[in-house]
Amino acid sequence: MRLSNVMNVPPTWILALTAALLLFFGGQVSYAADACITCHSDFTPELMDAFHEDVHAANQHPCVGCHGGNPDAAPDDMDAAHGTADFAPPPWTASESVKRCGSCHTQVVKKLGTGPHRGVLGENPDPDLPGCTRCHGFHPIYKIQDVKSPVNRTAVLQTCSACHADSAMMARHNLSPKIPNEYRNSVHGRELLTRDNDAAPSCIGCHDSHSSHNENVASFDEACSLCHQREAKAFKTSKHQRVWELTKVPVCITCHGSHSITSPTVEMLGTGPGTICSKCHNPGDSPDVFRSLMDKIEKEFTQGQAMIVEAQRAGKNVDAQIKILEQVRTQLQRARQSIHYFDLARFRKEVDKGLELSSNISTSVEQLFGESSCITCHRELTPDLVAGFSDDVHADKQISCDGCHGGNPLLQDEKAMSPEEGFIGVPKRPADVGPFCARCHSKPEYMNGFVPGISTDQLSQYALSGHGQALSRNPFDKNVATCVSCHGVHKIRAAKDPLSPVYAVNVPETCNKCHGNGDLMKAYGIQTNPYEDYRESVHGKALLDKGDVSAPACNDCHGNHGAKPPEVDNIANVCGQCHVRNATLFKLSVHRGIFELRGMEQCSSCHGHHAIKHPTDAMLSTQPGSICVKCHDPGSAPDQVHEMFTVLDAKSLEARDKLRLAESYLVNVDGGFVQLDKANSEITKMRVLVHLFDLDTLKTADQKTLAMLQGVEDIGNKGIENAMFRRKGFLVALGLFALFLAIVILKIRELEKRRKLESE
Amino acid sequence: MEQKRSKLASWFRERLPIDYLMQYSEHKTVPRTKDFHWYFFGGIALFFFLVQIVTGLFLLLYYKPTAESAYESVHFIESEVYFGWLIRNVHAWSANLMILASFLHLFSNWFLKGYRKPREMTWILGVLLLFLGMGFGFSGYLLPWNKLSFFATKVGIEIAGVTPLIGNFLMKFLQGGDEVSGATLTRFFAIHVAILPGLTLLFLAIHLYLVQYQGISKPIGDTTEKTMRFFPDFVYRELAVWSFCLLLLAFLAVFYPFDSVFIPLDLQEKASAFDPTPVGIKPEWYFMFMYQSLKYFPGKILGLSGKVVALFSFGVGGLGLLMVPFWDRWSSREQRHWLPKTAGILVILFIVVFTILGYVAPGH
Repeated sequence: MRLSNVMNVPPTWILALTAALLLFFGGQVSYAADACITCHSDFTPELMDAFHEDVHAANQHPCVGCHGGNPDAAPDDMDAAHGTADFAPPPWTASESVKRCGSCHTQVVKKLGTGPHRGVLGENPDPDLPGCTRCHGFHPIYKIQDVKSPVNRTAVLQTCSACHADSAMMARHNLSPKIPNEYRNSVHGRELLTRDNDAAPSCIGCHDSHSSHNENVASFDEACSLCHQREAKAFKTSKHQRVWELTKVPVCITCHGSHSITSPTVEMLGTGPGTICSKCHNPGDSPDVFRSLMDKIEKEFTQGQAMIVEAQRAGKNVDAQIKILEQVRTQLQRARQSIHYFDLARFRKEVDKGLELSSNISTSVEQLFGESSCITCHRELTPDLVAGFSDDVHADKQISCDGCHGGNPLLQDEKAMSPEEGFIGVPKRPADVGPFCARCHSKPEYMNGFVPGISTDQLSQYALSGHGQALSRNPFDKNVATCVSCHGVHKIRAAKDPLSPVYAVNVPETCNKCHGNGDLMKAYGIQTNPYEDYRESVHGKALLDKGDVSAPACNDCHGNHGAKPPEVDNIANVCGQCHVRNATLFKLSVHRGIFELRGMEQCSSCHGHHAIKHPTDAMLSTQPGSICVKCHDPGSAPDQVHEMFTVLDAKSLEARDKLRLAESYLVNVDGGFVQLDKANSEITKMRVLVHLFDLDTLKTADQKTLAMLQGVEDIGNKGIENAMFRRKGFLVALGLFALFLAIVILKIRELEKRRKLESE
Repeated sequence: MEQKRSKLASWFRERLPIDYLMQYSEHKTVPRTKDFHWYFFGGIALFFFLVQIVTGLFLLLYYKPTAESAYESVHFIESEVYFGWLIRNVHAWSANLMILASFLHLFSNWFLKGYRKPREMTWILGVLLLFLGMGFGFSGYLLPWNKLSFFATKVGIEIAGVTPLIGNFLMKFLQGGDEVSGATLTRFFAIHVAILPGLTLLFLAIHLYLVQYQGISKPIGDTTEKTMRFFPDFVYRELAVWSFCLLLLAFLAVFYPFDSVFIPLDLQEKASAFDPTPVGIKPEWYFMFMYQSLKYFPGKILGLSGKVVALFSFGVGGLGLLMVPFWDRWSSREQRHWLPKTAGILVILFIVVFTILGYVAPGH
């Protein structure tokens, strides 16, 4: 017969009830079995109530474990309960508490023996030294994890501060009472206490609860490396580790401080005042490079952040950009950590990665806007301007509207053009155009970034030019050429670009826009036909018809930005830039002094200014229409020189014809043509030598050249003679052959007859 | 005087087989067929060869076979040496005319079937003599050491280098190194003035002896009994033809100097190994048909290199040419057959067409 059957209760019900009862009662202290608890529940009920939360409460005889005594004594027999030798009632001294707790917590006491509080284990410990209960409390001693525990991570600062913030106590022990406060204000303290960051260390996070005070500097490193593993690992492979092994500095706290550790900033880096590295490093050392790289990436990050904020304010969806920013932040963090390698190449690599990422921010933000607000508006207002700008050299270099005019193209409408955003606008006066462009073009450090070595003296040159001086007299004169008059505006091409108005071939027309306008030039007293003259000149034809960019345009003689007509006695210097030998000879000649005396222009007195024609021998004589007739009488030196060249030219042609005739006979006269080229070069040299205006020198050269031409003619003659000789020879051979053939034919006929007769 | 002459004649008669030769020449005859005029081409080729020997010997007096001096020595011969221009141009023209005459002689014998029994060896020697003549042309082409010579030789040797198995060796052997250089010039000079003349004289001697010994063949089916005495009848005619050839050479040398006619001005300059291959490099005209036809072979034929197949084809063609007396079985039976004739016509067409194409085809 089963009990459940008798009780009329299902078996599961019985099992469940049994378990509940066990649990309920099992969790209760069996006070009934412990004399201490039985008594003290009456005498010190609040203590017993509190003891419920004690970590020792679950022990079988929790009281005697710490205090000793006899738990089996009768409940009202205090003597029996307290009469044992090991009974130790409170209050305990520090050393007593250590002894008592240490009876179970032996390992902890062992560690305590290595710590700064180890004195408490001695015979007569310093009363300032804490026992276990001073830190852990008693009745109840909470679990460390419990927030009520005085050694819980959030409360431990307060517990330690009880002594360590006591100035008098700290003074007795030569310790600073400021440490708790320093910690409170440190990055660790703020993270732990203000932000409740579980990862942040409390006092015992670095110092360990019972043992070492970390007097050994290595331990500091080990302490820091508990959390900052990457930095510690990096440091261990760095040069600084080696230095530390020898000198015991630096180590983490050397640079970052101990209790007052703040968030590391870029200002710590470098060798400037207030930096950490300056403790050991001199100005110019590698910390400065670290600093500049760090500045760079931090700046990029900040700018990227600002751009995203602006874009967000403009109503753009910046989720993708924020993701990139996070990547930059992560890379920035990585870069900071990698500093601890103290390896510049490695650090630079990390920084470069970050910079690359951050460049993606600016690109993608720009893409959000599609184009700058300048373009958006001006496409409607000034469509030609916008269309032309794509060809501009500034656009190629990613310099947009704001590069010249200021403003903020990321902002919309009028805000983009506000003075607060740096908007400059258009120069008000013609005289302001030069300085406007010179804001960039006069700065070598800026311009070298685009074209190394580019000239940056345009403004100073311009100031000295005819144009610049006209504007200095009247800054509002709109007729004077400024930068934009020649280079254009909003479609400025590089001078090397064949479409640029200042490309060599285009310069004459560009200058002619103003200098060809009679009405305009009248006001300045300048002649108005230079272009027409130039167009027909030898220089004009070479440049404009043949496209020979070595031929001079206006700027080659007058200067570029410092454009001004050359002085009368400087013209040889101008022409001598290309016609070097002519100019040198002229300066050595008697004509130089004479021209100066008479106030005659060098070079242009004979050759003209703009309408310079190809020089001919007709210039060199005293015949009507020649140049020399202006000063020389008929029959004088110019006529003799003219005669020389006439003869030479005729001789050269004669020699050439002879060679060609010989060549037509298929005779090899290559040597003759080579000689002829040399002779013709000599004639050209003689025409240059004319500028020495020395008849004797010319006569010597003339003799030499005539001899060369005679040699050429001789070669031609010899070739023709050879050809004639060969032909004559062939005729002779032909005659002989004819004779021979006649003889043979006769002989054959004779034989034929004979054979015929023989056969008959 | 008469007595003195007969005494002199007797002196030689007693020491040399003059009587035998005179007897032989009195009896030696040449068939007087309707194709009689074709018989002169062999003699013409021989005449040009003799001219080559004579002019070659003269050139040897001044020519310097080194890369540094070859070009200058040729220039010296043409401009400074007394009649040097004549010797040099005659040598150049005669070379080309000799090969032309050889081709005409070969084809005339092909169609007239002069190779049939018992003249097979004469044919083979003749074909070999043609090949030797072309070898003379190839080796002599380099000797002026101008740009055309240099690069044409380079191209020619590169083609020879395509020969399977021995191509690389052949190239290095011909070049005298890894590339055409002064060593090649010296080597080609030796080949041109010693090796080839030796071989040619040997083969020529045998060839002429066989012609004399076996007589001149008559075409198949020609039953004419008419003959002509070799000496002096045929010899007089031969002399007339030879003197005409000599006059032709003189005419060409005087009015059409070889370089001016055949070589563009820029290619007449001295060769330099550092120059890139210029445009307009052509082989000699007698190699042109092979050079041009090479270009029509595809890059790959049945997995083999097109060039190798081409060379092999030429090799087979050359062998076929050599073996004409043997594969033309019908001629030995005094029978005509369309195959040898057609083959001959096709070969001529092939040579003519591709030679013309070599000069006029676009992209050349």
